[in-house]
Amino acid sequence: MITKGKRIVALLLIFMMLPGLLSGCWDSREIDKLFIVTGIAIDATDDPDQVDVTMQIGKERKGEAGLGEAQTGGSSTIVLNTVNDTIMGAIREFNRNSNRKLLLQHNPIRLFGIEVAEHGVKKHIDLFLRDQQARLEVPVAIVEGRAADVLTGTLDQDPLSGMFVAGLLEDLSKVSVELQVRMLDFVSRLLQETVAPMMPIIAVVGEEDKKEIKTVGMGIFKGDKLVGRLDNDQSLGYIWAMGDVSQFNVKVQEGIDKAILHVSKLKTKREVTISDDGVVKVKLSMEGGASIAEMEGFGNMTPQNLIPHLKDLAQEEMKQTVTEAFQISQGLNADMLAISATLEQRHPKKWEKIKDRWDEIYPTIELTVDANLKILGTGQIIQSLEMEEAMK
Amino acid sequence: MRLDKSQISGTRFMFTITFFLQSSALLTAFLSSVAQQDSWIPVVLSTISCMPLVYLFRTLMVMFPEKTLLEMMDEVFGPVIGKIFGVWYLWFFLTLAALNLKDLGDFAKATVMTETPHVVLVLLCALVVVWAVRHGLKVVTRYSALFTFIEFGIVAVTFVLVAHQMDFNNLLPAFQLPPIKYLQGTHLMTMIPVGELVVMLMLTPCVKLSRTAATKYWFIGVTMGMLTLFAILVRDIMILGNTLPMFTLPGLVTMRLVNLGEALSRIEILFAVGLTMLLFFKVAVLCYASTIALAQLFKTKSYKNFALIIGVLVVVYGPIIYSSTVEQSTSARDVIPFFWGVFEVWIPLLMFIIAKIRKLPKKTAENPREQEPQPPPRRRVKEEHMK
Repeated sequence: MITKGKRIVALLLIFMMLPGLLSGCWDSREIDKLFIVTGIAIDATDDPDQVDVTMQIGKERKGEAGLGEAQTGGSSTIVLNTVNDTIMGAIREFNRNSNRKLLLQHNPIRLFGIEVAEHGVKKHIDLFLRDQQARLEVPVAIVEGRAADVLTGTLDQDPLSGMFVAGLLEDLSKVSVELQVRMLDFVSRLLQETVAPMMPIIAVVGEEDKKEIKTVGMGIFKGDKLVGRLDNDQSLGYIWAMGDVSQFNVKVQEGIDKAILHVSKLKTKREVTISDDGVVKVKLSMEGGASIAEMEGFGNMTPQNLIPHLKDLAQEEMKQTVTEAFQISQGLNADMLAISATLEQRHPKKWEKIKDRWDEIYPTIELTVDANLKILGTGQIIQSLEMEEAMK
Repeated sequence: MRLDKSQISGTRFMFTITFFLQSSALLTAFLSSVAQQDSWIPVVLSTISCMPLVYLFRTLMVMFPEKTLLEMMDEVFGPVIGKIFGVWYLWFFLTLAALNLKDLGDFAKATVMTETPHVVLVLLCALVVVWAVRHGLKVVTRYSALFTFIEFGIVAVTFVLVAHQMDFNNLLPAFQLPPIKYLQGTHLMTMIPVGELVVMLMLTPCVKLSRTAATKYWFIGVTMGMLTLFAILVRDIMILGNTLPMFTLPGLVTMRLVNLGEALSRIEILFAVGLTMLLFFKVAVLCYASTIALAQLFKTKSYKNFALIIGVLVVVYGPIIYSSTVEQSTSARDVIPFFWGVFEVWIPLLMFIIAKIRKLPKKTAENPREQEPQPPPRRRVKEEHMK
């Protein structure tokens, strides 16, 4: 039994400990002592050993905090910029010159200037893999020109341009996960050596007072260096080849007649074969359901032969787009479809024999593309106005 | 002589085994650096290969129902050699407790409480452990079933939440590594989480089980624990693919990737809660074993006063074992599985063989293991607890 005296001593001890245990901790961080980073941009400098780091901070109220060298970028953001030999060095410099600490955990986007991407991004991503605050699901993108321009410009679309770019890529990922490249995805491809990492490219367009951000395609890497690109239309060929694409349009044109087909879901089956003498063949079979979204012309056709005709045109268009994108990657000798990874996974023994010759083999790969679209609907009307007129 | 008069049920003992194995979830990082995308294979192989070892522990438990491991060694090897081995085992339990407590502190400091000093984190944990140990095995293992189900729940929920990101191809190519890698991985998994179950032999006098029940609880407990580790590994491989061996905490990285719309993301705190719970429990069981071992070496009638000494020792011992985490993980991967084998396999096996040769234990009293145990009357348990 605990005596009454002991009970009182225990209670007193507990009361004495409570203020220490319940009043906070070492890790308390108040929002008025933080800079919430809404975008990080990495750019090259004239000195190859230095890196230009820009960070966009979401500002909760105007005119607060000592900023040191900071400049205000619009009313909702603060933009911090410095040149240092490492990214951590730059972060330290920002923290040193401010009464707030940078909070990277909510940073939604990491941007690389095109010059940095061409010189190689490997030395700039260690921090983003190592630091506990830096998350691996954060998307990465290349910026046409300087990456800092995305974070410093006053945009019509959204004052928090970092958040806007992240949202843009998030929306694209609903079409295909290949269009939003997370840091983890990029590193995963980088580690595979023979596979080409990909990264979306965005650009700031428009006049000084009316700037806009647009996606302009996908960058193709060889190792950690940007070696080529696909424009937006060619990027469709890439995502169709990778498969699992939702909600996209295929434009078909025949003379002055044109139609847009809306494909709701596309699945792509990949078959990679390798002969004993090391000849690699790839067969892509695409299957999906489509509906007519818009049509102009085709006045000389009847409703009965219109649907098979549109289907043939769309299938041919898709085959051509995929083949064109693949040929670009072969020209760059960069395995953007991760064919080497499929070979390694499915034919490990044969892969071991050819992996050292992969750079010679890749440009010689024979690609066969099959497309099978089913036209599931025509919308509220069946024929185009031109067809209606022709029937009269 | 039993120092701790408390008694736990077979079910609780089984969940203690399961939870003890689950607490090796941190170990998946060591394993993935050895067997990469095939890390799940050593888990399956070690689940099969550990069964004779588990059977050995179960047999020692039913052979010497009223004795702890140290008492068994005294009886089998004689008081002198038995005591020497006893001191070794005390060091073994203490080292395990200290390393796990240090892991707990390191993990909390690296992920959730980056500014809080390491010593504060481990000290607070050690205080609760000491309090639990002083109250006996019943208190130490009280929440084993609850914690086990929470861990099952966390693994199941995260499996569902990251299911759409899983890529089966990440498990390929399978069976392509050199056989030595699978052997090393299997050995690692058998020696570190399963072999450490030798500590359960310090708990067994508090568990009353028939031979059949002992077999059942040991094997179900181990299978459930290994299944959890298997599920964690498969999940992490399918999510992280070839990046898996890069990370020191793959489970944490996987949980960080959970992103179901705006609402359901950033749930890695679940991993932090789960792992803290797991390591706390493991430290508590190891401290309990160390305390009983110390008390038995000094032949005292009460073990409670030793709990605080053990608590202090594990707090100060942990940080000085290894100079860095890199050294610790290299040692855990390359050295420890061989060294720990002496405590986990060879001494228990030697003890079993000698006991059989010497026809121990001597049949001086009826063997309580031959009969299904009767649960103690509730009033009696309460009285013991009040003491």
